[in-house]
Formats: sequence, C-alpha cells, structure tokens
Amino acid sequence: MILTDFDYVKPGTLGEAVALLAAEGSRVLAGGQSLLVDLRTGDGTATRLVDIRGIAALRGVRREGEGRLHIGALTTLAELAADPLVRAGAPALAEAARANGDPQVRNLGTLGGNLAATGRATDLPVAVIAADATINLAGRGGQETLTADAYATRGLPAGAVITSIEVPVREHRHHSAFEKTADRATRYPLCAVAVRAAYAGDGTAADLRIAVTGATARVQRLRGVEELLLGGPTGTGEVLAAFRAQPRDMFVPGRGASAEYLGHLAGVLTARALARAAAR
Amino acid sequence: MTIAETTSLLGQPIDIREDEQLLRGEATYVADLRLPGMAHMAILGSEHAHARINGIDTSAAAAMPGVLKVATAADFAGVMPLPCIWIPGGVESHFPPHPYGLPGSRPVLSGDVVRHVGDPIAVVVAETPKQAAAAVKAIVVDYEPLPVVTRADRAIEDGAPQLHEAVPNNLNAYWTCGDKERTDRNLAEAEVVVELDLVNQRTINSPMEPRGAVGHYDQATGDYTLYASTQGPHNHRFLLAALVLGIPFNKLRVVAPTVGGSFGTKGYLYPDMPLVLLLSKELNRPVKWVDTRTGLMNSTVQGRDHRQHVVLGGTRDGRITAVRCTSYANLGAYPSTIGPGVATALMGRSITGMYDVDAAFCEVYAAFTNTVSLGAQRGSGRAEAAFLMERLVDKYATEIGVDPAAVRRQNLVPATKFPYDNGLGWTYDSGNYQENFEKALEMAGYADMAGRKAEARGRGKRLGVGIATYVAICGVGPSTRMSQEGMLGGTWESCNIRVHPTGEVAVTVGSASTGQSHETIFAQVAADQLGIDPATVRVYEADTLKAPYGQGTYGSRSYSMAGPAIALTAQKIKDKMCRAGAAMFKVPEDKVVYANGKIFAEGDEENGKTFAEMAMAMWYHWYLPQDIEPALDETTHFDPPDFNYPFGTHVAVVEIDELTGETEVVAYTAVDDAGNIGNPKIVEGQIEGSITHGLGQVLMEAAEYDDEGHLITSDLRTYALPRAADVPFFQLGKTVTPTPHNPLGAKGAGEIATVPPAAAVANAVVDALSDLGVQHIDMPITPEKVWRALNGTSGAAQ
Amino acid sequence: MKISLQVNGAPADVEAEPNELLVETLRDGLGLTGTKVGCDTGQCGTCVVQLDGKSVKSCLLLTAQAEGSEVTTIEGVGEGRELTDLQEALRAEHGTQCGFCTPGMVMSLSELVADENAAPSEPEIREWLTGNLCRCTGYHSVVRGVQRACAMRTADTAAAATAAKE
Repeated sequence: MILTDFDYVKPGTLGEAVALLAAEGSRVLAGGQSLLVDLRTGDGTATRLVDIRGIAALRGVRREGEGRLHIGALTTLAELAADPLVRAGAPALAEAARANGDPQVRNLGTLGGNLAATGRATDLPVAVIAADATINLAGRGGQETLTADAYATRGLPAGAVITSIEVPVREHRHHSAFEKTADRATRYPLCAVAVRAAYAGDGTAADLRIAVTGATARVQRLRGVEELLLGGPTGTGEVLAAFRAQPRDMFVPGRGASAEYLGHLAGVLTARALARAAAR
Repeated sequence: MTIAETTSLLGQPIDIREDEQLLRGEATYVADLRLPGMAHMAILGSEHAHARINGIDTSAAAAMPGVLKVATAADFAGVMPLPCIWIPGGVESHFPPHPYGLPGSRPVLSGDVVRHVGDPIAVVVAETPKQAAAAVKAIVVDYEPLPVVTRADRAIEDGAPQLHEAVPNNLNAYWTCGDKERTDRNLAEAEVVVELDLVNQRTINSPMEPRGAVGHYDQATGDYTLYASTQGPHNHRFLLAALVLGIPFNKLRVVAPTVGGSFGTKGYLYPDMPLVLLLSKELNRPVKWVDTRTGLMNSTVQGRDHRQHVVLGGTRDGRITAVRCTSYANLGAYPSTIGPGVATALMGRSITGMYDVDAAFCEVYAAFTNTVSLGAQRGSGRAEAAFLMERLVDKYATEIGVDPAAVRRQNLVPATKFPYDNGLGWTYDSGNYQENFEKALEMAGYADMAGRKAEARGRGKRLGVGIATYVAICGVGPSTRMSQEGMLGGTWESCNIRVHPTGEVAVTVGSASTGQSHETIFAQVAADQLGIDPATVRVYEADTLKAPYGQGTYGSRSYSMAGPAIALTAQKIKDKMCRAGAAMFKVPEDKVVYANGKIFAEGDEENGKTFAEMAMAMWYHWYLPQDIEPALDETTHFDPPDFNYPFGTHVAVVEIDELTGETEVVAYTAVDDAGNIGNPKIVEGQIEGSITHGLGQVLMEAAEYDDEGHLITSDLRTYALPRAADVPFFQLGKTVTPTPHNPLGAKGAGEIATVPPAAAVANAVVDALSDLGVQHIDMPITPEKVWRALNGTSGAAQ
Repeated sequence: MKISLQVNGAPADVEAEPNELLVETLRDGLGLTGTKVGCDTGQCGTCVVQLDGKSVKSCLLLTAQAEGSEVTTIEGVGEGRELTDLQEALRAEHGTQCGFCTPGMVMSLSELVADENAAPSEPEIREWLTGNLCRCTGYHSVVRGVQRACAMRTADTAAAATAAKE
C-alpha cells in the first residue's frame, strides 16, 4: 500500500519525459521496483512519476560501429542476461544482470534503473565501469555522454535520464568477469566486483580495470589496486595483498559486516573474477 | 464381537486432499474475507520501546476522509487485559494484574506507558484499508521516553529500567528443575569439566501469511463472530469471552479460515482480536484488520532468546556425570499467552536429551524487557535445550580426545531403561536411541568423513561434520500433568464422528490446521479405523460453532492427540454398529464381526451389511431395541496418560570456504522417530520444512534490537529467511518406536526436526575449524564470524 | 484514472488511483484473491503474477504500469478447472503445505517451465525460486515437483514418439 499521492504520466518521447522531469518532485519510473518500495516504506518521496517505458528510443540492443554495443536503457535485466550479443561482447555485464535479484526482479528491472539506483549497491554499475562503457544521458541541457570513469567518480547528474550505454565489445586481448556475494535477505550485493584485464605473454597483467560496490561507500574503480597489480601476476595472494595495501578508510561496514571483512571479501571476489577472466 | 485389524490405510502416503485447492489459489485466508459493509482497522504502534504517554491527539486523524472511528485506551476502559495462561510451574511468579486475579498480560491498547516498539496505542477504523492506514499516521502522540532494557540478564540487574509495577526487577520467575546438590557435587568431583557461554538468539517465526482478524457483531442476535488466523479457535473463544470481553460464552463464535502457516505464533491472544469485535459492535459493521510484514515483526510473538552458561562434567573415558544450565530467558515486554511456560519447562526439563546423565540441574531467570513478547517458535524450548547439550557434548569429546560419536554412543539412554525418568521432570515413554543413532551415522557415511575432508581441502574448502540428537516432548498433553507445569487450562483433544444415513462420514475435531493437511490425515485415520473409503469422509474443524471442544494445534500435537480421539470415536461407532448388528442378525454380540467396513454374523459374511446399509438402518431405527439409540453420532474427549517423546539423530556436513568463511550445508541426514506415522508424505514434508527452519536459525536468522529497543530486522529486507538455494536435498530416514500413551502409537512430528539442526550445523562448523582451536561460534554463524575464526582474530572464537 | 488491461484472457477496465498497486487492483478491485500479500518490500513472492507471460511481483508494479498488458493470475492458469502439469506434479509431490506461498510459486515456476522442452537442473530450479519464500516445505517438495513436471513431459514426448513409430 502506497500512502503518498502522486501523478502518473507516461510520455511517448524523450523530449516530453525530460520536460516532465524538470518539475520538482518528479521521478523517473522504469522497472520501478526500488522506487515503489521506497514510496511504500516512506523512504522516498515523489509528486509525479514519469513512466519512461513508452519511449521506443530507449529500447534495443544493437552492434554499433567500431566494435561497440549500443544497449537501450529500458533493456530489462533478464533480456541483458540472455542477449547473445551482450553475452559474447560484454560477458561481465550479462553476468551482473543474471546475478541481480530474482527472476521477477530481472523481468521488470532495467539497465537504466539499475545504473541510476542511489542509496543501495546494485550489480550493473561495476560491470559498466570495468567494461569502460559510456553512458548516454538526456537532460534539460540536451544529450550528454558520460565516460565510465566520470560515472564512477561523479555519479549521474541530477535530473538526467539514462538513455543507453555504449560498451566496447570484448577485444581479443581483453577478458572480463563479474563476482558477487549477495546479501542474504535482499539479494543486493553485499559486495560485487567486475574486472576487465589484458595479459602479457608471460601472464602478467598488462591492462586492468577493477570496480567494486557494496564494500565501499559508493561504487568505484579501484585504481590503487590496479596500479599494484599491473605488470605482475594476479594470483589470489597478490590480489589480497594489493587490497590490504589500500587506505584503511576505503572500505565501509554494511549489512552487519565489518569494513575489514568487506575489504577482504572484495579482494577475494576480485581474485576470483581475475582468475575466471584469465581463463576465458 | 470381533473387530478385525484393518490398519491398511495408516502409514500410506495418500495424496493430500487440500493441495488441489491450494494450488489453484482458491483457499480463503483471513485477508481474503469480504463481508458486506466491512470497514477496515489500522493500528498505531509505539515508536518508542519504553515511554510514558502524556497525550494523544486524534483530532487530525478523525477528520480524515473515510474515517469512522479513532479509539485509544480510554475508549476501552471496561475491557480486561489479556490473560497469561502458562506460568512457570511450581514457583513464585510475578505478572501484570488481571481483575480476576489471574496472571495478566497487556491491555488491548496501552494508555499510560508503552513497553516495546509496536505496542498498540490507538486504532482507526475507516472505509478502506488505505484510509485507515493514512489516518493512523496523522495521530500525534506525546511521548516521554523512558530508559530501555532489551536483554534479560541486564533487566534483572539492580537499577535496570522497570517495566511493570507488579514485577520487581522485571523478574517474572526464577524457575529450576533437577537436582542442584547432586549436580554440583558431580561437577566438583568430575575429572573433566567443560563450559560454554551461549546465546540462543531471538528469532522471528515469519509464517508467510501475516496475521489478520475480522470481527462481526450481529446487532439482531447480539452474537459476536471472530474470524482470525488462529491455531486454537476454542481457546481463543474461551479466553476472549470469559477473560477479556466479559461476555457470555454463548455470544462468541471463533472461526479460523485457511491459515497460512504459524509455527507457534498464531496460538496467542493479540489485542487486535478483541479490538475488531468491540469496534464492530460500536460501528455495527464488520471490521477487518490485516497485518503488514513489518507490523507482524513488531507485534507477533518471537522465539528462543536465551543467554546461557552451561557446564558438563564427565570422566576421562567419556561418561557424562553432570549437566548444569543457567539461563536468562527474555519474555519480552508482556507475557504472551503461554510464553513463560515455553521459556522455562519446555527448555529446562529437556536439557539432557537422549543421554543418561547421573545428575542435571537447570535454572531459568525469566525476565521482561522492552522487546516484542516471546512465544513459541517451531521446536521451542527443546531446540534451545538440544543446542546447549549437543554443543557441550562436542566440546567434551574434544577435551577428552574421543570421537564425538563415540561419546554419544556411550551415554545414550539404554533401550532397556524405558520408561526413563530423566531427573528433570520428563519420563520418556519409549525409545530405541541406539538403533536410531547408528542408522543416522550409517546413512550419513560418518565413518568415511576423513577422506571427504581431505578431498574438500584440495578444493579450498574445510569440510566439517556435526551430529545432534534430541528428545522432543510432544503430545501436550495430560491436563493434570500440564497443570503442574503451570498451564491454566485443559490440554485434551476431541473428536465427533457423525455417520450420515448414506454411509458418508463427517469427522469433526477440536484442532485447527495451519497448513498440516488435517483434512487428509484425519480422514485417513477415520477411514482406516472404520474400514471405509477415505473419499467418503469429510473433515471439519476450526469453527467453534461446529467443532467439539478442543485445544487446537500446537506442540506437534494434532496427530497424536486428535488422531487418537478419532480412533476412539471410531471404536464407539463400530461398537454401536455391532450391537445393532447383533439384534439384526439375531446372534449374540460376541458373534458379530466388523471387518473392512462390513458387519456380519460370524460365519455368514454373505448376509452381512455394508457400512452404508448399517448407517441407513440406524437412521431409520426400525425394529431396533430401545436400548440402542438411533443414528451414529459419537464424541470422544481424549486426555492422554502422559506426553510422548519423539527423538532423532541428525548429521550435518558443511563446507567452509577458507577465503570467505562462507558455510554451505552440503549434506544433511535426519533420522527421526515419531512413533507410528499416519501419512509419510505429510510427515516428510514437515520434517524437510522443520530442518530448513532450523538451518535458518543457525546460519542467518536473528531478531536484532538496537540499544533504544528498535527492531532493526523489521522486514524481509533485514531479516533473512532460508531460500531454496540455501539448502540441499536432505537424506531422511526413520525408526519407529510407538508410544504406549495413545492407541495409534503416534508421537509428535510437525516441529521435531527443527530441534537439532542448529546444533548439528554448529558442531559441523566447529569440527571444520577444530585444528585451529576454535571451540564455539555464536549463531547466526555468518561468513564474517567464520572468517575471523579462521584467522584467529577478535570476537568470534571463544 | 481509467486503466485497460487484459486479466486472465478477458478485458478489464478498472478505475485506479495513480498510487494503486497491481496486487491491490487484482485483489480488491477484481476480487482475484488467489494473489497474496506477504510482505511490504518485494521479497516474499506471494504476489507473483504474469505480465505478458513474464513473472513479476504485483506488489512492485503500479496498476497504471500494466495498462495494455495481459495479466495472468493463479485464477487464470490452465484450461478451465484442469490443473496444469506443473500443478499436478506439485500436488503429487505435496509441494504445498499452508498454501499461502503457493499461487506465487506456481506463477513463477510456470515461466520456468513455459517451454515444453524445459529441463532445468536442480540448481537452476533452486535459483529460480529465489523470488519465492516458503516457510513450510523447506522447498524440497517444490523442487521435486518441478523435476516431476519436466520428467512427465519427457515421458509424454517419448510415449508420443514411440506411438508415432508404431
């Protein structure tokens, strides 16, 4: 039962949606499964919900020139997990989508909604950051493109609607994987990690992107860990040592687990993701 | 007369007749009820765990759309507080007052002081549920916060916040059982003494259906009807009519529609029940209330919650000589309907389980705190007892360097010793613990664990194996014996069998299903005993207007209490048919044979009568002797001579991830003995559910309160329940040792398998970490606690 | 606002506030009480229905969002009063006790076995059930029920193939 009152509107175009969202108290409604819970429990407020699921431009997965995948923001998590293009070209993203919630959540939940979630760790952001994807936004100022690193450091600008992402299709030298330990009650990540790595002939890491969520205050790329591992082996011992070498305040407690444990868990998941990536 | 043995149906896994309706979603639960003119109630619960209420402003709420009534404690000044009917037996105890001099519990609405978060303060009745819920939010309460205590051991300390004027130091009772002197002497003289400090954490039963109640007052007749998710309609009728509302018993009817699981929580009186009745009368409309999940977690009884210091003494060569337990039991803010008895007798008298121990002693400090009331939770008391005993046995085995199985084997009560007085108040009826124990070890492959451990180590996993045995008192029970345990009421069960003129049969029992397939099993018992087709038997229950008096379902009692009542009633039917048969066949009574639903004169089956023919003959009552009354309609009230004591052995195998500390239950073997089983399909389903419930407690479940008394785990985002992927298929076995205490030889079954899993898994985890010197990890055994134990870092390891 | 949907194969025009949840419309508006409410936060799965053939939690969806969609509830499963093979298999395995989670389970699992040739492994079945909580059965009989449903189909197919050969 939702006690708060709001208007519901379902625009047919992106332009209309952006205009509607300009008003105070307007919120984007896509899958809605986080937002509606927040409205039920009183953890969130809204005076108008703008249902963007009628905007055709936000749908679809297709190959874009120069080895990139274009994935519409309304692609559901279930579609993302099953899409052959995504599975072949961005396997960590498909894994992250598959790891999300449960079948019912995946059937309604969308890529855009998962990336835009605030206040809780979700699965897809680490995969997008590790994949070095770009995020296309529409806002009052028009269209905007955010790099993965800008998204990781600054998050989304207020009032923007995610329209799609562009993911570099897995190149021959790049390997990626996603690992997660789910919170038992919610299935949100207690900690989730995505990696993309390239290896030199001797098996040492030549290129690395590691992103983590749950164990840290917000989703982020772990450049400190990447730097320590670059040019060397990425076995469990080396990875855990690299995590231990990070500043103490990098990891935060959550869901009854200490920062110390979550920092360690992030290291274990990273080591496992790198091992799986290397085997691909 | 000769009544041939025709026990062909009992023990058969016949299909469950309830399932089709449930699978179609056609069963009606309280939330599905819609009565004409129905209004909807919402409850305002306290925001504070302990506070004085200086004022309540309901004016804004009363002015909101659709609101019909806003009520506070002042509106119900003439209504009595709810009673408590199971008090710690044989000792001095202190309770909030009740006008009849009985132990009291909570008022229907709290007026001056609130004692836990969620304590009901006010209600709104409105045209729609949403309007009622919205108006509740508009009620303004002026709270003056008071100091809070949430732990039983702290609540009884000097200077602790005081909850009830009539309960000094919040101590409901200091209760003991066993032989203190002998226990202490044995401990002093023991070659080996092991001790543990245990927290059997508070848990939340979490049936999938939240509670609900619909009150309907009929102005024309002055009759009240309560539809509620209840385990015991008759009990609720008695307590509500006589001890809360003060109305004639004849004016109240209680009906339980389909109930969506309970596990102990729906056998209690709750304020919403009298409230919907009173407000229905006032508004002259049916009033409905359905709880939310968060509401349930802040209002419906919670389980376990003992803090214990436990000690075991024994010889170097493995003979246990003494067990001692000191427990601080947290009753919550008010005594629930039967909470104090659950926290004392059910736990304390059960602590030595399957073992023949020379001396044992248990003392319980039962105390009130600013938390939700404590009640039963599947396996209650007995699970806490098994946990402490089985953890102690493992620690003892480690201490003396003997295999935990060998220590257990050496101390099991011998099969020759039954009936066995356990020295704590229980007299075990029957058992063959050795057979049960060896079967479980055999099925689990206990002898081969070394190889499996080595293999797991090669995969970065530590494999551990844990055994837990138990004896679970069930079949509550013998009423006089229960009165000695502090039960203020009878605990017998009943059955009426009415044979229709067509030969179809109506079986009506006083129990009430909350998902245990009563219609199937009770029809099965009746059909078996009468030698007729179960399809011709209808089962009725859970409506006080129709059912004979009975006490409902709790403590795994229905099959071993209502089942015998059915069997005894069937016997009366058969006896009467045979007497009539003697007259009809013109032979002496002892020459009449009843076999497979047929009655005939010995040696003349051909001219016999079928069950249906006899039913019609009795209906017409033509040419039958005057001393045989017409019709076939018999009732039995069954009060057993003593309890029954199912038992079992469970073996858990876990694998621990060496890097993350995650524990996975990879194999689980359960060999339970519930005596003669009526329908294995039902029992196996309950055992599987029970084990999963127990695994929930040991691995993930915990009701956590912050220091201000707010329940942190107040929804299913914060309180984790086991999911399908958390459990492997279990390996189930059974042994069968009938009880002599009822004609079916049946023992309790519904909750017994919840008793040992926590201990089995905790033992398995400690086994997996034993080379690190780990001796105990508190529940719930989270990955972080295990990881800390693996790394020898603070906190987890004792 | 006026919302048009298809519910169990029939058009349903309902009047719903913007903040009305689909489960409220189904239960209170249309009297389809087979769909349950067991929590407030989307974990329990007792409210699962199908939206255009996909299982979704009807407590996490506004009625307005379902405009133009085909909603199937437990009342709309199967042909008339016939149990589906999944329901039949769950009955055979006693995959329900109190029954409160059962409609949601059926609606969820119906999607898992929608494909005639579906043969999910035990881990896949268990993982699929992540969205459905049950406190009675411990899930075992439910998992066995799904396995039985799939096995029954395989047996049917084999029987049909044999019959075709003959």
